[in-house]
Amino acid sequence: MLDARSVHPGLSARSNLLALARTAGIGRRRVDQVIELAGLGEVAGTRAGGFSLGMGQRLGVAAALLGQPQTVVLDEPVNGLDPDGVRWIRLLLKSLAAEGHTVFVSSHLMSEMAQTATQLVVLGRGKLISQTSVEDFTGRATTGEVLVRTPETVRLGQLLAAPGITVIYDGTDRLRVSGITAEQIGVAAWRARLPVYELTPAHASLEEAFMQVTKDSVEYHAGATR
Amino acid sequence: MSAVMETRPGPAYGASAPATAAGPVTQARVVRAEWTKLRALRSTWWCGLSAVVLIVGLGAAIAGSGTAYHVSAANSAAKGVSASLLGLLFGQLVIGVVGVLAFSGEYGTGMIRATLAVVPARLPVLWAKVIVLAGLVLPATMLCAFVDFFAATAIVSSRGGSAISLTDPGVLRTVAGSSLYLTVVVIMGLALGALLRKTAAGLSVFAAVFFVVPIVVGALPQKITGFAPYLPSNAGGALWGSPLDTAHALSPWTGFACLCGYAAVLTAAAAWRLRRRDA
Repeated sequence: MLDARSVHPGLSARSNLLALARTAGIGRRRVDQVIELAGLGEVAGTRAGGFSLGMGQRLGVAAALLGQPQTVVLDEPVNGLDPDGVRWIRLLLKSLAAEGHTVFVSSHLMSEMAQTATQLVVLGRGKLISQTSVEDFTGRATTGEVLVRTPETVRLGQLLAAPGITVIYDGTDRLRVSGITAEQIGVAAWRARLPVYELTPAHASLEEAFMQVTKDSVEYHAGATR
Repeated sequence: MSAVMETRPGPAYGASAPATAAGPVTQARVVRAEWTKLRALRSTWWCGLSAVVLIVGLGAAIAGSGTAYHVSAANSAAKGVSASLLGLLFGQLVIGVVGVLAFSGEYGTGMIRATLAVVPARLPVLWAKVIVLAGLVLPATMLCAFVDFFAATAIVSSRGGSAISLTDPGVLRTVAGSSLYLTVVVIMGLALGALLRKTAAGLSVFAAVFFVVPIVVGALPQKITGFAPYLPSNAGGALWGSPLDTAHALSPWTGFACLCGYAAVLTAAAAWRLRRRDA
């Protein structure tokens, strides 16, 4: 994506886009299309110098889409956008991907990427750390923790206690157990005839998974592709 | 925006991407892009209006004030026309501003990054700006110069002065030459903008070369100012008979060729910097 600050503040949004479009022989109709796509229809004729950060970002995305590129590369596209703008970017990227475009986004916003991306590329210190789907990435980096809901928290906790296994009580009917699989907990509870309401291996969020994978890299960078 | 909101149930992600709309970048397309920018900027039209007022308005005012002009052996017709074009001395500053801004404006605002991203070869941008500015300034100032000529001569003859016609010796050269002069001036401004990249620096150097230096040199003793006729404004001024002209002016076309030489050198330096230095 073109830098949101690479526009002439004295030119309108439309003129800025038209000047770029002319260079590649793109017509006025496509310019009006991307203006609508970016939701800038009402301000297309006003000078870009008065734009907010979010409007500038929309203009940048509009510029990137002018030529209907097969691959769209966006660097931190949601920076400075309001919640509506963030949602707009997310839906725009998904619809571009559905149309068959390759959308390449670099971002540090893990929660946003978790909602948008299908494929992840994680880079750290200039080296490829991981390239996989989002599910694989978070799945591989599970916390190893199992959430257990039972009315017999104390008895089950004592039953599971062993070297290498931690059991955390939080005062409710929940236990957080690590160092043992959900299957082993289930079998142990069944043998001791203890009721279990819920038994869930906790999956790491994308953010947690990312932190685990990149903890060796001081300078890191995350990218997500679709 | 509605078109985006409805996420089409579209095919799997492997679907073939639609064809791109972008065609190859050609010099003609870059020229169109530059014309789009220049035309859409307010500063272009304000400067254009100022130049028209300065050249035509000042010319008419000069013709209307003072004693009506009489052609004689000592006062050639061309000299009278030159006097009515005095507004050029100020108009050239405005024209220079347009030239400098055409490039420094892009560096100042950051637009240069977008411009060079779509034209990675870079030099077509410089040529396109030269073509667009020359294509705008030449016809516009040509029109101004002829309007000024007809207005000024009509005023002079109505006040009892000599009727001057375009066929009098040197008159046509003076009128058309004023426009040629301003066209080369705008290219020099453009080259300065591209070379220095800062609006303030570009305008300062332009004003120094075209205003300050000729006046300072004019005030110095003749012995050390042998180079004065070769100053850009004096050399170019020979073509349209600038009133600031020195005693040993170059012949009209030699002077103009000298001015074009300066413009060519500056443009070459600008091209080198554009090509070799990070934007």
